[in-house]
Amino acid sequence: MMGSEAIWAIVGSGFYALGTGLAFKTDSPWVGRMVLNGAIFVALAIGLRWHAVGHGPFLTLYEILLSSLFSLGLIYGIAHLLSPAVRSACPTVCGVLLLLGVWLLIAEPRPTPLPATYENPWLWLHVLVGKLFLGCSLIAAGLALAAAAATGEERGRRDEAAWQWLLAALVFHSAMLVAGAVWAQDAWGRYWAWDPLETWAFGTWLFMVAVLHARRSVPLSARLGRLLIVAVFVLAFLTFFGVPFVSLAPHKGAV
Amino acid sequence: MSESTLGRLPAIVVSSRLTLAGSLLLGAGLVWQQIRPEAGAWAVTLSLLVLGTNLLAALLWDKRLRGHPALFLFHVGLLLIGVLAGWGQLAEFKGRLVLAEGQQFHPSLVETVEHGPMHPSLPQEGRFRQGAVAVDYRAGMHRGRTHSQLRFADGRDVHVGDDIPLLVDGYRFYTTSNKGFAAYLEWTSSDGTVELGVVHLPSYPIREMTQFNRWRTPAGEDLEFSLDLPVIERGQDWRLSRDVARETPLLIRAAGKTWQLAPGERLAMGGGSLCFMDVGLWLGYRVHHDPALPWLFSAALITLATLAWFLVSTWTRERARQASSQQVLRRSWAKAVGL
Repeated sequence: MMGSEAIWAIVGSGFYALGTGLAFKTDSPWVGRMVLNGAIFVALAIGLRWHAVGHGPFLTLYEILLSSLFSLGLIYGIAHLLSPAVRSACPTVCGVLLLLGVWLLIAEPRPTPLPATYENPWLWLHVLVGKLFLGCSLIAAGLALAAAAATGEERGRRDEAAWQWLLAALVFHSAMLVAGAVWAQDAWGRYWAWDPLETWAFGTWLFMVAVLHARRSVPLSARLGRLLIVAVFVLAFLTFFGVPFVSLAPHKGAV
Repeated sequence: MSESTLGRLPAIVVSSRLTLAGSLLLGAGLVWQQIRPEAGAWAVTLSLLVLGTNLLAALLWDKRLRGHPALFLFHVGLLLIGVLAGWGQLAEFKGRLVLAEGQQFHPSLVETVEHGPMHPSLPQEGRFRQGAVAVDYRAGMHRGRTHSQLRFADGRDVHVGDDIPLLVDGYRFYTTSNKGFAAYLEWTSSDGTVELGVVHLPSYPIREMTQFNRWRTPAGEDLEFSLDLPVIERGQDWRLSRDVARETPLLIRAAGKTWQLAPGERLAMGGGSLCFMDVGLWLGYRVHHDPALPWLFSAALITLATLAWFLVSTWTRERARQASSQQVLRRSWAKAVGL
Protein backbone atom coordinates (compact mmCIF):
# COMPACT_ATOMS: atom_id res chain seq x y z
CA MET A 1 0.00 0.00 0.00
CA MET A 2 1.12 3.56 -0.54
CA GLY A 3 0.25 7.13 0.32
CA SER A 4 -2.29 8.55 2.72
CA GLU A 5 -5.10 6.65 0.95
CA ALA A 6 -3.80 3.52 2.70
CA ILE A 7 -4.86 4.86 6.10
CA TRP A 8 -8.43 5.50 4.95
CA ALA A 9 -8.69 2.17 3.15
CA ILE A 10 -7.58 0.42 6.36
CA VAL A 11 -10.12 2.41 8.42
CA GLY A 12 -12.82 1.45 5.88
CA SER A 13 -11.82 -2.21 6.07
CA GLY A 14 -11.96 -1.89 9.87
CA PHE A 15 -15.62 -0.88 9.63
CA TYR A 16 -16.24 -3.85 7.33
CA ALA A 17 -14.60 -6.03 10.00
CA LEU A 18 -16.97 -4.56 12.60
CA GLY A 19 -19.87 -5.31 10.26
CA THR A 20 -18.64 -8.90 9.92
CA GLY A 21 -18.42 -9.23 13.70
CA LEU A 22 -21.96 -7.95 14.17
CA ALA A 23 -23.30 -10.00 11.25
CA PHE A 24 -23.11 -13.30 13.09
CA LYS A 25 -24.95 -11.99 16.13
CA THR A 26 -27.76 -9.84 14.81
CA ASP A 27 -29.49 -8.72 11.64
CA SER A 28 -29.89 -5.20 13.00
CA PRO A 29 -29.49 -2.14 10.77
CA TRP A 30 -26.19 -1.48 12.55
CA VAL A 31 -24.45 -3.92 10.25
CA GLY A 32 -25.60 -1.86 7.26
CA ARG A 33 -24.46 1.33 8.98
CA MET A 34 -21.01 -0.13 9.67
CA VAL A 35 -20.67 -1.28 6.07
CA LEU A 36 -21.76 2.12 4.77
CA ASN A 37 -19.24 3.84 7.07
CA GLY A 38 -16.62 1.52 5.66
CA ALA A 39 -17.64 2.49 2.11
CA ILE A 40 -17.34 6.19 2.97
CA PHE A 41 -13.76 5.79 4.19
CA VAL A 42 -12.82 3.68 1.17
CA ALA A 43 -14.35 6.43 -1.02
CA LEU A 44 -12.03 8.88 0.71
CA ALA A 45 -9.09 6.60 -0.09
CA ILE A 46 -10.17 6.46 -3.75
CA GLY A 47 -10.49 10.25 -3.86
CA LEU A 48 -6.98 10.73 -2.48
CA ARG A 49 -5.47 8.26 -4.94
CA TRP A 50 -7.41 9.82 -7.80
CA HIS A 51 -5.98 13.23 -6.86
CA ALA A 52 -2.46 11.78 -6.61
CA VAL A 53 -2.35 9.74 -9.83
CA GLY A 54 -4.75 11.83 -11.92
CA HIS A 55 -7.21 9.12 -12.95
CA GLY A 56 -9.94 6.93 -11.53
CA PRO A 57 -9.50 3.38 -10.22
CA PHE A 58 -9.90 1.59 -13.54
CA LEU A 59 -6.59 -0.04 -14.33
CA THR A 60 -4.54 -2.12 -11.94
CA LEU A 61 -5.57 -4.97 -9.66
CA TYR A 62 -4.96 -2.64 -6.71
CA GLU A 63 -7.34 -0.04 -8.16
CA ILE A 64 -9.97 -2.63 -9.00
CA LEU A 65 -9.77 -4.02 -5.47
CA LEU A 66 -10.11 -0.51 -4.05
CA SER A 67 -13.09 0.41 -6.23
CA SER A 68 -14.81 -2.94 -5.58
CA LEU A 69 -14.27 -2.55 -1.85
CA PHE A 70 -16.16 0.72 -2.13
CA SER A 71 -18.90 -0.31 -4.55
CA LEU A 72 -19.72 -3.66 -2.92
CA GLY A 73 -19.84 -2.00 0.50
CA LEU A 74 -22.08 0.78 -0.78
CA ILE A 75 -24.46 -1.55 -2.63
CA TYR A 76 -24.78 -3.99 0.24
CA GLY A 77 -24.97 -1.25 2.90
CA ILE A 78 -27.90 0.40 1.11
CA ALA A 79 -29.63 -2.93 0.44
CA HIS A 80 -29.17 -3.96 4.08
CA LEU A 81 -30.79 -0.76 5.35
CA LEU A 82 -33.64 -0.73 2.83
CA SER A 83 -34.52 -4.41 2.60
CA PRO A 84 -34.52 -6.62 5.70
CA ALA A 85 -34.81 -9.61 3.33
CA VAL A 86 -31.14 -9.33 2.35
CA ARG A 87 -29.78 -9.03 5.90
CA SER A 88 -29.19 -12.75 6.17
CA ALA A 89 -26.59 -12.43 3.37
CA CYS A 90 -24.47 -10.32 5.69
CA PRO A 91 -21.89 -12.90 6.87
CA THR A 92 -20.96 -13.82 3.29
CA VAL A 93 -20.94 -10.22 2.02
CA CYS A 94 -18.91 -8.87 4.92
CA GLY A 95 -16.56 -11.85 4.69
CA VAL A 96 -15.89 -11.08 1.01
CA LEU A 97 -15.38 -7.38 1.81
CA LEU A 98 -12.90 -8.29 4.49
CA LEU A 99 -11.09 -10.63 2.08
CA LEU A 100 -10.80 -7.81 -0.48
CA GLY A 101 -9.54 -5.47 2.27
CA VAL A 102 -6.78 -7.91 3.25
CA TRP A 103 -5.90 -8.53 -0.41
CA LEU A 104 -5.63 -4.78 -0.94
CA LEU A 105 -3.00 -4.59 1.81
CA ILE A 106 -0.67 -6.89 -0.13
CA ALA A 107 -1.53 -5.78 -3.68
CA GLU A 108 1.00 -3.76 -5.73
CA PRO A 109 -0.15 -0.12 -5.55
CA ARG A 110 2.12 1.29 -8.27
CA PRO A 111 -0.04 3.30 -10.67
CA THR A 112 0.14 2.90 -14.43
CA PRO A 113 -0.73 5.68 -16.88
CA LEU A 114 -4.30 5.75 -18.13
CA PRO A 115 -4.42 4.96 -21.87
CA ALA A 116 -6.22 7.53 -23.99
CA THR A 117 -8.82 4.87 -24.88
CA TYR A 118 -9.92 4.81 -21.23
CA GLU A 119 -10.95 8.48 -21.31
CA ASN A 120 -14.41 7.66 -22.62
CA PRO A 121 -17.82 8.21 -20.94
CA TRP A 122 -18.96 4.69 -21.90
CA LEU A 123 -16.21 3.32 -19.68
CA TRP A 124 -17.91 4.96 -16.70
CA LEU A 125 -21.24 3.35 -17.50
CA HIS A 126 -19.54 0.01 -18.20
CA VAL A 127 -17.79 0.10 -14.81
CA LEU A 128 -20.89 1.32 -12.94
CA VAL A 129 -23.20 -1.45 -14.17
CA GLY A 130 -20.36 -3.96 -13.75
CA LYS A 131 -20.12 -3.06 -10.07
CA LEU A 132 -23.89 -3.33 -9.72
CA PHE A 133 -23.72 -6.80 -11.30
CA LEU A 134 -21.00 -7.94 -8.89
CA GLY A 135 -22.94 -6.50 -5.93
CA CYS A 136 -26.16 -8.28 -6.93
CA SER A 137 -24.42 -11.61 -7.53
CA LEU A 138 -22.63 -11.31 -4.17
CA ILE A 139 -25.95 -10.70 -2.41
CA ALA A 140 -27.50 -13.64 -4.31
CA ALA A 141 -24.62 -15.91 -3.21
CA GLY A 142 -24.91 -14.63 0.36
CA LEU A 143 -28.64 -15.35 0.40
CA ALA A 144 -28.11 -18.83 -1.10
CA LEU A 145 -25.60 -19.68 1.63
CA ALA A 146 -27.92 -18.18 4.27
CA ALA A 147 -30.76 -20.34 2.92
CA ALA A 148 -28.60 -23.44 3.37
CA ALA A 149 -28.21 -22.51 7.03
CA ALA A 150 -31.93 -21.77 7.56
CA THR A 151 -34.92 -24.05 8.07
CA GLY A 152 -38.64 -24.06 7.21
CA GLU A 153 -40.30 -21.10 5.53
CA GLU A 154 -37.30 -18.85 6.10
CA ARG A 155 -35.21 -21.15 3.93
CA GLY A 156 -37.75 -20.90 1.09
CA ARG A 157 -37.89 -17.11 1.39
CA ARG A 158 -34.11 -16.83 1.23
CA ASP A 159 -33.95 -19.20 -1.73
CA GLU A 160 -36.52 -17.16 -3.62
CA ALA A 161 -34.75 -13.89 -2.79
CA ALA A 162 -31.43 -15.38 -3.98
CA TRP A 163 -32.95 -16.21 -7.39
CA GLN A 164 -34.42 -12.68 -7.64
CA TRP A 165 -31.00 -11.10 -6.96
CA LEU A 166 -29.44 -13.43 -9.53
CA LEU A 167 -31.95 -12.16 -12.10
CA ALA A 168 -31.04 -8.58 -11.16
CA ALA A 169 -27.37 -9.55 -11.62
CA LEU A 170 -28.21 -10.80 -15.12
CA VAL A 171 -29.80 -7.43 -16.01
CA PHE A 172 -26.72 -5.49 -14.88
CA HIS A 173 -24.32 -7.95 -16.46
CA SER A 174 -26.15 -7.61 -19.78
CA ALA A 175 -25.95 -3.82 -19.44
CA MET A 176 -22.23 -4.16 -18.69
CA LEU A 177 -21.69 -6.12 -21.90
CA VAL A 178 -23.64 -3.56 -23.97
CA ALA A 179 -21.85 -0.52 -22.49
CA GLY A 180 -18.51 -2.32 -22.82
CA ALA A 181 -19.21 -3.10 -26.47
CA VAL A 182 -20.00 0.56 -27.24
CA TRP A 183 -16.83 1.64 -25.44
CA ALA A 184 -14.75 -0.96 -27.31
CA GLN A 185 -16.19 0.19 -30.65
CA ASP A 186 -15.15 3.77 -29.94
CA ALA A 187 -11.85 2.89 -28.33
CA TRP A 188 -10.51 0.13 -30.56
CA GLY A 189 -12.76 0.13 -33.61
CA ARG A 190 -14.50 -3.16 -32.78
CA TYR A 191 -17.31 -3.96 -30.39
CA TRP A 192 -16.21 -7.48 -29.58
CA ALA A 193 -12.89 -9.26 -30.01
CA TRP A 194 -12.85 -12.13 -27.52
CA ASP A 195 -10.02 -10.67 -25.46
CA PRO A 196 -9.52 -12.65 -22.21
CA LEU A 197 -11.75 -10.40 -20.13
CA GLU A 198 -14.49 -10.28 -22.78
CA THR A 199 -14.42 -14.07 -23.02
CA TRP A 200 -14.59 -14.52 -19.26
CA ALA A 201 -17.36 -11.94 -18.94
CA PHE A 202 -19.40 -13.59 -21.68
CA GLY A 203 -18.75 -16.98 -20.05
CA THR A 204 -20.16 -15.63 -16.77
CA TRP A 205 -23.24 -14.27 -18.56
CA LEU A 206 -23.74 -17.57 -20.33
CA PHE A 207 -23.38 -19.52 -17.10
CA MET A 208 -25.94 -17.25 -15.43
CA VAL A 209 -28.36 -17.80 -18.32
CA ALA A 210 -27.76 -21.56 -18.12
CA VAL A 211 -28.40 -21.56 -14.36
CA LEU A 212 -31.64 -19.58 -14.76
CA HIS A 213 -32.80 -21.93 -17.54
CA ALA A 214 -31.79 -24.98 -15.50
CA ARG A 215 -34.12 -23.86 -12.72
CA ARG A 216 -36.99 -24.03 -15.21
CA SER A 217 -36.03 -26.96 -17.36
CA VAL A 218 -34.53 -29.65 -15.15
CA PRO A 219 -35.55 -30.95 -11.74
CA LEU A 220 -33.07 -28.81 -9.85
CA SER A 221 -32.87 -29.52 -6.12
CA ALA A 222 -32.84 -26.47 -3.87
CA ARG A 223 -29.37 -27.46 -2.71
CA LEU A 224 -27.97 -27.67 -6.25
CA GLY A 225 -29.69 -24.37 -7.09
CA ARG A 226 -27.88 -22.70 -4.17
CA LEU A 227 -24.58 -24.20 -5.27
CA LEU A 228 -25.07 -22.88 -8.80
CA ILE A 229 -25.89 -19.39 -7.52
CA VAL A 230 -22.70 -19.39 -5.46
CA ALA A 231 -20.82 -20.72 -8.51
CA VAL A 232 -22.02 -17.70 -10.53
CA PHE A 233 -20.46 -15.39 -7.96
CA VAL A 234 -17.24 -17.42 -7.89
CA LEU A 235 -17.01 -17.17 -11.68
CA ALA A 236 -17.75 -13.43 -11.56
CA PHE A 237 -15.12 -13.01 -8.83
CA LEU A 238 -12.54 -14.78 -10.99
CA THR A 239 -13.49 -12.61 -13.96
CA PHE A 240 -13.17 -9.37 -11.99
CA PHE A 241 -10.12 -10.23 -9.92
CA GLY A 242 -8.54 -13.19 -11.69
CA VAL A 243 -8.01 -11.69 -15.14
CA PRO A 244 -6.45 -8.43 -13.84
CA PHE A 245 -4.34 -10.61 -11.53
CA VAL A 246 -2.66 -12.35 -14.44
CA SER A 247 -2.33 -9.21 -16.59
CA LEU A 248 -1.52 -5.60 -15.75
CA ALA A 249 -4.77 -4.06 -16.99
CA PRO A 250 -8.28 -5.46 -17.41
CA HIS A 251 -8.29 -5.15 -21.20
CA LYS A 252 -4.54 -5.51 -21.55
CA GLY A 253 -4.56 -6.88 -25.06
CA ALA A 254 -6.52 -3.91 -26.29
CA VAL A 255 -4.74 -1.04 -24.51
CA MET B 1 -34.34 -41.98 -36.45
CA SER B 2 -37.38 -43.69 -34.92
CA GLU B 3 -40.88 -42.38 -35.47
CA SER B 4 -41.30 -41.50 -31.81
CA THR B 5 -38.08 -39.46 -31.85
CA LEU B 6 -39.27 -37.67 -34.99
CA GLY B 7 -42.60 -36.97 -33.34
CA ARG B 8 -40.86 -35.53 -30.31
CA LEU B 9 -38.47 -33.41 -32.40
CA PRO B 10 -40.50 -30.15 -32.19
CA ALA B 11 -40.72 -30.52 -28.43
CA ILE B 12 -36.96 -31.14 -28.23
CA VAL B 13 -36.17 -28.13 -30.42
CA VAL B 14 -38.42 -25.90 -28.32
CA SER B 15 -37.33 -27.19 -24.91
CA SER B 16 -35.30 -25.10 -22.53
CA ARG B 17 -33.24 -28.24 -21.87
CA LEU B 18 -31.84 -27.70 -25.35
CA THR B 19 -31.09 -24.10 -24.34
CA LEU B 20 -29.20 -25.47 -21.39
CA ALA B 21 -27.32 -27.97 -23.53
CA GLY B 22 -26.58 -25.29 -26.17
CA SER B 23 -25.29 -22.90 -23.50
CA LEU B 24 -23.01 -25.55 -22.02
CA LEU B 25 -21.77 -26.45 -25.51
CA LEU B 26 -21.10 -22.78 -26.24
CA GLY B 27 -19.24 -22.43 -22.94
CA ALA B 28 -17.14 -25.48 -23.77
CA GLY B 29 -16.57 -24.12 -27.28
CA LEU B 30 -15.31 -20.82 -25.87
CA VAL B 31 -12.84 -22.60 -23.61
CA TRP B 32 -11.75 -24.78 -26.54
CA GLN B 33 -11.41 -21.70 -28.73
CA GLN B 34 -8.95 -20.19 -26.25
CA ILE B 35 -6.82 -23.34 -26.49
CA ARG B 36 -7.25 -24.25 -30.20
CA PRO B 37 -8.81 -21.26 -32.01
CA GLU B 38 -9.80 -22.97 -35.29
CA ALA B 39 -11.27 -26.14 -33.82
CA GLY B 40 -13.01 -24.15 -31.08
CA ALA B 41 -14.57 -21.80 -33.64
CA TRP B 42 -16.49 -24.77 -35.08
CA ALA B 43 -17.86 -25.68 -31.66
CA VAL B 44 -18.89 -22.05 -31.09
CA THR B 45 -20.58 -21.84 -34.50
CA LEU B 46 -22.39 -25.14 -33.98
CA SER B 47 -23.62 -24.19 -30.52
CA LEU B 48 -24.78 -20.77 -31.81
CA LEU B 49 -26.74 -22.54 -34.55
CA VAL B 50 -28.33 -24.85 -31.97
CA LEU B 51 -29.16 -21.92 -29.69
CA GLY B 52 -30.52 -19.84 -32.59
CA THR B 53 -32.79 -22.64 -33.77
CA ASN B 54 -33.92 -23.31 -30.21
CA LEU B 55 -34.64 -19.62 -29.66
CA LEU B 56 -36.62 -19.27 -32.89
CA ALA B 57 -38.63 -22.41 -32.11
CA ALA B 58 -39.32 -21.22 -28.57
CA LEU B 59 -40.55 -17.85 -29.85
CA LEU B 60 -42.90 -19.59 -32.28
CA TRP B 61 -44.23 -22.42 -30.17
CA ASP B 62 -43.38 -22.07 -26.47
CA LYS B 63 -46.68 -21.05 -24.87
CA ARG B 64 -45.11 -20.27 -21.49
CA LEU B 65 -42.69 -17.87 -23.14
CA ARG B 66 -45.50 -16.21 -25.09
CA GLY B 67 -47.38 -15.80 -21.81
CA HIS B 68 -44.72 -13.36 -20.49
CA PRO B 69 -44.62 -10.33 -22.79
CA ALA B 70 -41.38 -9.00 -21.25
CA LEU B 71 -39.61 -12.35 -21.45
CA PHE B 72 -40.93 -12.93 -24.96
CA LEU B 73 -39.66 -9.56 -26.16
CA PHE B 74 -36.33 -10.15 -24.44
CA HIS B 75 -35.90 -13.36 -26.43
CA VAL B 76 -36.98 -11.58 -29.64
CA GLY B 77 -34.26 -9.03 -28.87
CA LEU B 78 -31.68 -11.78 -28.40
CA LEU B 79 -32.59 -13.31 -31.74
CA LEU B 80 -32.43 -9.90 -33.37
CA ILE B 81 -28.96 -9.30 -31.91
CA GLY B 82 -27.82 -12.64 -33.31
CA VAL B 83 -29.22 -11.89 -36.77
CA LEU B 84 -27.80 -8.35 -36.83
CA ALA B 85 -24.37 -9.51 -35.63
CA GLY B 86 -24.43 -12.11 -38.43
CA TRP B 87 -25.42 -9.51 -41.02
CA GLY B 88 -22.68 -7.22 -39.68
CA GLN B 89 -20.08 -9.96 -40.20
CA LEU B 90 -21.25 -10.48 -43.79
CA ALA B 91 -21.25 -6.79 -44.70
CA GLU B 92 -18.26 -5.72 -42.61
CA PHE B 93 -15.18 -3.99 -43.91
CA LYS B 94 -11.86 -3.61 -42.11
CA GLY B 95 -9.01 -1.70 -43.61
CA ARG B 96 -6.11 0.61 -42.88
CA LEU B 97 -4.94 3.87 -44.28
CA VAL B 98 -2.05 6.27 -43.90
CA LEU B 99 -2.42 9.98 -44.56
CA ALA B 100 0.26 12.67 -44.37
CA GLU B 101 -0.58 16.20 -43.30
CA GLY B 102 -2.08 18.03 -46.25
CA GLN B 103 -2.79 14.83 -48.18
CA GLN B 104 -6.20 14.34 -49.79
CA PHE B 105 -8.05 11.15 -48.88
CA HIS B 106 -8.77 8.80 -51.73
CA PRO B 107 -10.39 5.35 -51.41
CA SER B 108 -7.52 3.80 -53.36
CA LEU B 109 -5.28 4.60 -50.39
CA VAL B 110 -7.24 2.22 -48.16
CA GLU B 111 -5.66 -1.20 -47.77
CA THR B 112 -8.24 -3.91 -47.19
CA VAL B 113 -7.59 -6.11 -44.14
CA GLU B 114 -10.76 -8.16 -44.49
CA HIS B 115 -14.30 -7.76 -45.75
CA GLY B 116 -17.49 -9.75 -45.76
CA PRO B 117 -19.05 -11.11 -48.97
CA MET B 118 -21.90 -8.60 -48.74
CA HIS B 119 -19.67 -5.54 -48.43
CA PRO B 120 -20.15 -3.04 -51.28
CA SER B 121 -17.13 -1.26 -52.68
CA LEU B 122 -15.71 1.75 -50.87
CA PRO B 123 -17.25 5.12 -51.68
CA GLN B 124 -15.36 6.63 -54.59
CA GLU B 125 -15.26 10.17 -53.39
CA GLY B 126 -12.44 11.60 -51.33
CA ARG B 127 -13.92 14.56 -49.60
CA PHE B 128 -11.44 15.38 -46.88
CA ARG B 129 -7.80 16.24 -46.45
CA GLN B 130 -5.53 15.48 -43.50
CA GLY B 131 -4.95 18.57 -41.38
CA ALA B 132 -2.63 19.06 -38.41
CA VAL B 133 -1.71 16.05 -36.30
CA ALA B 134 -0.54 16.15 -32.67
CA VAL B 135 -0.03 13.43 -30.09
CA ASP B 136 0.37 14.13 -26.37
CA TYR B 137 2.97 12.19 -24.44
CA ARG B 138 3.29 11.98 -20.69
CA ALA B 139 6.59 11.64 -18.86
CA GLY B 140 8.08 8.20 -19.40
CA MET B 141 7.04 8.10 -23.06
CA HIS B 142 3.44 7.17 -22.30
CA ARG B 143 1.17 8.02 -25.20
CA GLY B 144 -1.79 10.23 -24.37
CA ARG B 145 -4.44 11.65 -26.67
CA THR B 146 -4.11 11.86 -30.43
CA HIS B 147 -5.47 15.02 -32.09
CA SER B 148 -6.15 14.81 -35.78
CA GLN B 149 -7.75 17.59 -37.77
CA LEU B 150 -9.54 16.68 -40.99
CA ARG B 151 -10.60 19.38 -43.42
CA PHE B 152 -13.58 18.78 -45.71
CA ALA B 153 -14.05 20.25 -49.15
CA ASP B 154 -16.80 22.57 -47.83
CA GLY B 155 -14.29 24.13 -45.38
CA ARG B 156 -15.60 22.24 -42.37
CA ASP B 157 -13.00 20.98 -39.86
CA VAL B 158 -13.54 17.74 -37.95
CA HIS B 159 -11.32 16.76 -35.05
CA VAL B 160 -10.90 13.05 -34.41
CA GLY B 161 -8.85 11.13 -31.87
CA ASP B 162 -8.31 7.80 -30.16
CA ASP B 163 -11.95 7.23 -29.32
CA ILE B 164 -13.61 9.77 -31.59
CA PRO B 165 -13.82 8.33 -35.10
CA LEU B 166 -14.59 10.20 -38.29
CA LEU B 167 -17.89 8.99 -39.73
CA VAL B 168 -18.22 9.16 -43.52
CA ASP B 169 -20.99 7.25 -45.31
CA GLY B 170 -21.12 4.68 -42.51
CA TYR B 171 -17.34 4.23 -42.55
CA ARG B 172 -15.49 4.90 -39.31
CA PHE B 173 -11.93 6.18 -39.44
CA TYR B 174 -10.07 5.62 -36.18
CA THR B 175 -6.66 7.10 -35.48
CA THR B 176 -4.03 4.56 -34.43
CA SER B 177 -0.76 4.71 -32.52
CA ASN B 178 1.06 4.37 -35.86
CA LYS B 179 2.48 7.73 -36.91
CA GLY B 180 5.74 9.33 -37.89
CA PHE B 181 7.48 12.06 -39.84
CA ALA B 182 7.22 12.65 -43.54
CA ALA B 183 9.53 14.62 -45.84
CA TYR B 184 7.70 16.66 -48.50
CA LEU B 185 9.69 16.75 -51.71
CA GLU B 186 9.46 18.42 -55.11
CA TRP B 187 11.19 16.77 -58.04
CA THR B 188 11.88 18.88 -61.11
CA SER B 189 12.97 16.92 -64.16
CA SER B 190 15.44 18.28 -66.70
CA ASP B 191 12.52 18.90 -69.07
CA GLY B 192 10.82 21.06 -66.43
CA THR B 193 8.19 18.55 -65.26
CA VAL B 194 7.41 19.06 -61.59
CA GLU B 195 6.26 16.25 -59.33
CA LEU B 196 5.31 16.48 -55.66
CA GLY B 197 5.75 13.58 -53.28
CA VAL B 198 6.07 12.53 -49.68
CA VAL B 199 8.58 10.09 -48.19
CA HIS B 200 7.33 8.50 -44.99
CA LEU B 201 9.92 7.80 -42.32
CA PRO B 202 9.36 4.86 -39.91
CA SER B 203 6.91 5.06 -37.04
CA TYR B 204 7.95 7.54 -34.38
CA PRO B 205 8.93 7.49 -31.52
CA ILE B 206 8.84 3.70 -31.34
CA ARG B 207 11.52 3.49 -34.05
CA GLU B 208 13.28 6.76 -33.35
CA MET B 209 16.72 5.18 -33.86
CA THR B 210 16.00 4.09 -37.44
CA GLN B 211 14.55 7.22 -39.02
CA PHE B 212 15.48 6.60 -42.62
CA ASN B 213 13.80 5.47 -45.84
CA ARG B 214 14.68 5.04 -49.51
CA TRP B 215 13.22 6.49 -52.69
CA ARG B 216 14.15 6.22 -56.36
CA THR B 217 14.00 9.42 -58.35
CA PRO B 218 12.11 9.44 -61.68
CA ALA B 219 15.58 9.54 -63.26
CA GLY B 220 16.34 6.19 -61.60
CA GLU B 221 18.76 7.25 -58.85
CA ASP B 222 18.37 5.54 -55.42
CA LEU B 223 18.36 7.97 -52.51
CA GLU B 224 18.29 7.34 -48.78
CA PHE B 225 16.60 9.95 -46.62
CA SER B 226 16.95 10.47 -42.90
CA LEU B 227 16.05 13.14 -40.37
CA ASP B 228 18.43 14.10 -37.62
CA LEU B 229 15.72 14.57 -35.03
CA PRO B 230 16.28 16.24 -31.64
CA VAL B 231 16.49 13.92 -28.62
CA ILE B 232 13.24 13.88 -26.64
CA GLU B 233 13.51 14.41 -22.90
CA ARG B 234 11.75 11.29 -21.60
CA GLY B 235 11.26 12.56 -18.08
CA GLN B 236 8.74 15.23 -18.99
CA ASP B 237 5.45 15.67 -20.87
CA TRP B 238 5.78 16.62 -24.52
CA ARG B 239 3.73 16.87 -27.69
CA LEU B 240 4.56 15.23 -30.98
CA SER B 241 3.77 17.53 -33.88
CA ARG B 242 5.53 18.73 -37.02
CA ASP B 243 7.11 21.47 -34.86
CA VAL B 244 9.36 18.84 -33.25
CA ALA B 245 11.19 18.55 -36.57
CA ARG B 246 10.68 22.12 -37.75
CA GLU B 247 14.40 23.04 -37.85
CA THR B 248 15.59 19.53 -38.64
CA PRO B 249 17.66 19.17 -41.81
CA LEU B 250 17.03 16.34 -44.24
CA LEU B 251 20.01 14.12 -44.86
CA ILE B 252 20.23 12.56 -48.32
CA ARG B 253 22.68 9.80 -49.12
CA ALA B 254 23.46 8.47 -52.58
CA ALA B 255 26.49 6.81 -54.12
CA GLY B 256 28.58 7.23 -50.97
CA LYS B 257 27.86 10.96 -50.66
CA THR B 258 25.77 12.80 -48.06
CA TRP B 259 23.91 16.07 -48.52
CA GLN B 260 22.15 18.11 -45.89
CA LEU B 261 19.15 20.16 -46.94
CA ALA B 262 17.22 22.72 -44.91
CA PRO B 263 13.55 23.27 -45.79
CA GLY B 264 13.34 25.13 -49.11
CA GLU B 265 16.80 24.09 -50.30
CA ARG B 266 17.31 22.34 -53.64
CA LEU B 267 19.81 19.70 -54.70
CA ALA B 268 20.80 19.22 -58.33
CA MET B 269 21.30 15.64 -59.39
CA GLY B 270 21.30 13.51 -62.50
CA GLY B 271 18.12 13.98 -64.55
CA GLY B 272 16.74 16.85 -62.47
CA SER B 273 16.72 18.50 -59.07
CA LEU B 274 15.16 17.72 -55.72
CA CYS B 275 13.75 20.35 -53.40
CA PHE B 276 13.16 19.55 -49.73
CA MET B 277 10.01 21.54 -49.05
CA ASP B 278 9.05 20.76 -45.47
CA VAL B 279 8.59 18.16 -42.75
CA GLY B 280 5.17 17.01 -41.59
CA LEU B 281 3.56 14.04 -39.85
CA TRP B 282 1.82 11.02 -41.29
CA LEU B 283 -0.86 9.20 -39.31
CA GLY B 284 -2.25 5.70 -39.59
CA TYR B 285 -6.00 5.06 -39.48
CA ARG B 286 -8.09 1.97 -38.98
CA VAL B 287 -11.14 1.97 -41.25
CA HIS B 288 -14.20 0.06 -40.15
CA HIS B 289 -17.63 -0.34 -41.70
CA ASP B 290 -20.44 -2.35 -40.15
CA PRO B 291 -23.90 -1.31 -41.40
CA ALA B 292 -25.54 -3.29 -38.57
CA LEU B 293 -24.00 -1.19 -35.78
CA PRO B 294 -26.83 1.33 -35.15
CA TRP B 295 -29.44 -1.44 -35.41
CA LEU B 296 -27.41 -3.67 -33.14
CA PHE B 297 -27.19 -0.92 -30.55
CA SER B 298 -30.95 -0.30 -30.72
CA ALA B 299 -31.69 -4.03 -30.44
CA ALA B 300 -29.36 -4.31 -27.44
CA LEU B 301 -31.11 -1.41 -25.70
CA ILE B 302 -34.56 -2.92 -26.32
CA THR B 303 -33.35 -6.31 -25.10
CA LEU B 304 -31.96 -4.74 -21.94
CA ALA B 305 -35.14 -2.76 -21.32
CA THR B 306 -37.33 -5.86 -21.68
CA LEU B 307 -35.08 -7.85 -19.33
CA ALA B 308 -35.37 -5.05 -16.77
CA TRP B 309 -39.14 -5.06 -17.33
CA PHE B 310 -39.21 -8.80 -16.64
CA LEU B 311 -37.16 -8.33 -13.46
CA VAL B 312 -39.50 -5.61 -12.16
CA SER B 313 -42.60 -7.66 -12.99
CA THR B 314 -41.08 -10.70 -11.21
CA TRP B 315 -40.30 -8.62 -8.13
CA THR B 316 -43.77 -7.08 -8.13
CA ARG B 317 -45.41 -10.49 -8.50
CA GLU B 318 -43.30 -11.98 -5.71
CA ARG B 319 -44.06 -9.07 -3.41
CA ALA B 320 -47.79 -9.43 -4.12
CA ARG B 321 -47.55 -13.18 -3.49
CA GLN B 322 -45.82 -12.62 -0.16
CA ALA B 323 -48.38 -9.98 0.89
CA SER B 324 -51.25 -12.29 -0.05
CA SER B 325 -49.78 -15.27 1.83
CA GLN B 326 -49.32 -13.07 4.92
CA GLN B 327 -52.93 -11.96 4.62
CA VAL B 328 -54.09 -15.59 4.42
CA LEU B 329 -51.95 -16.39 7.44
CA ARG B 330 -53.46 -13.50 9.42
CA ARG B 331 -57.01 -14.59 8.45
CA SER B 332 -56.37 -18.20 9.50
CA TRP B 333 -54.87 -16.99 12.77
CA ALA B 334 -57.86 -14.74 13.43
CA LYS B 335 -60.21 -17.65 12.64
CA ALA B 336 -58.27 -19.97 14.94
CA VAL B 337 -58.46 -17.60 17.90
CA GLY B 338 -62.13 -16.90 17.16
CA LEU B 339 -61.95 -13.26 16.13
